[in-house]
Amino acid sequence: MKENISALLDGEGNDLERERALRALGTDPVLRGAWERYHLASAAIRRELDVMVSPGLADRLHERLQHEAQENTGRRRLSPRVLKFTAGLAIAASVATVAILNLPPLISPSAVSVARNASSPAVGKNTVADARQTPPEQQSALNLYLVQHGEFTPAAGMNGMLSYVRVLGRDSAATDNANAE
Amino acid sequence: MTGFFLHRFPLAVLLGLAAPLAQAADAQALFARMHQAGRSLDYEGTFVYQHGDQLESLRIVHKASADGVRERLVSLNGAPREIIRTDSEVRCYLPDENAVLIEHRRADNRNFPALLPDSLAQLKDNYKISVGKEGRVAGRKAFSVRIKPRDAYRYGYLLWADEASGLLLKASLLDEQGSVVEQYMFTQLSIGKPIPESELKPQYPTKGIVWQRAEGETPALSTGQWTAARLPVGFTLSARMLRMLPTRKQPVEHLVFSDGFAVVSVFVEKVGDEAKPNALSGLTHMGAVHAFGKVVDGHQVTVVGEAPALTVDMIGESVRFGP
Repeated sequence: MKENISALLDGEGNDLERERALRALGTDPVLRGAWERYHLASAAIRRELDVMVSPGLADRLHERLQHEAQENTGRRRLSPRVLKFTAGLAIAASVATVAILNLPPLISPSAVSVARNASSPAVGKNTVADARQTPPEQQSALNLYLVQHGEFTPAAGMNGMLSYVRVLGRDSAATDNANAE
Repeated sequence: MTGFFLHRFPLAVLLGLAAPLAQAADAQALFARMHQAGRSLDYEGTFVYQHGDQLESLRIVHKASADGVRERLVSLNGAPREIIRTDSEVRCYLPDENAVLIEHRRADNRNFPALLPDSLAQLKDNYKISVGKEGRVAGRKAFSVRIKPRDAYRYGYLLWADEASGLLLKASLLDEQGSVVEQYMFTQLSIGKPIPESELKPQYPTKGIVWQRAEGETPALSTGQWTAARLPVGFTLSARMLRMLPTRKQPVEHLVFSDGFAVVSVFVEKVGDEAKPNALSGLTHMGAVHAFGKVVDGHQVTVVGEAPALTVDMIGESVRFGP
């Protein structure tokens, strides 16, 4: 399985192997540790590791996800199988990005809201704090517009393809949660 | 300068003689080269997309041939979605919504960098552009270009491009304080290897799925009188057209406002018999994208753009019919 994890890290392997690896990450703490180390090593080799990520992050994320999921069982009961799989997906993505990108949001989610508030100094409803997160049902409706808007998005490069990323990834978290509930 | 880069680029890459881009202070040429690389190269890779506390992993396959450019973008986690884009249309495969959306692309195919100003003079009024340091991204030597906004009406960008090919490897959208709002980065990338046709076909079965196709071939030019009365400094109307959207029976007016980097789209459609239970009202955000919705004179106005709330709100609140 470690070979599958390594392949996942390298973006190799077929869909089945990728799915197995992600599922295994949700259940096996040893593999999570290996996943974390692979990413840290990779980032270190590439000299992209700006700060040290403390060991055991993957496990802490796993626990946090399970804890949050349990809190949600008051509304709907989770399928353990789906929960493990979802946790695996989330951890794989989360640890990979924390290790490689070294972004503050996962380490300190509050940093995001602080930063966003600072992005728009105007008062009143023009501040981002007053712009609520788009609800999932409206995200789907907005996809139609985002696809067309994507034709005109030049700045972030990749020939505008990045705009379409939002259509693909926009409500994946919501979908994860919905699937898990 | 642009012509020089575009003309010499393939040979330079082949011979390994590509000069460090940091030496080329001509930002326009850099952008042109990055765009050309993104369009003309064959490549496939995996990248991560981060917005707020959300993380996505995606795979992109890009192939350029005499028939044009084809791309396939696949989400690797979350909902199993993919997008296949050609020069003429965009197909969104959304199995979780049991739908395939098919959108026609613009008739004149005017795209980046054509949307950029003819000179950097206009851009420099709104942004400070500098060629940054050299580094490594996804194991490749890269150079950075920093685009810093001069006010709070637009985001900044930190772009990292492959030194050998010019392909964009990493892009960060930054707020006025320089904090990351949204970020993309390749974690694995292969350039120049043959891409089999199977890699450009949808992965998920489409049997039984609902195909939602926009009526009409391509968007038509619009002479409508919808406009935004207030625009942030530097923004101008870049394009306007009438589009037929999947699931819509009436055309939708699409206005595009841009300052050369930031782009904000305004969509106006009549509130008629077609129920739109999820029509947007007020201001929301999805990562770096802000969206705004309201009803004006019996029309639903929806504004989306990779711009701060301040900008999207100002444009959205000022949309009106008539001169």
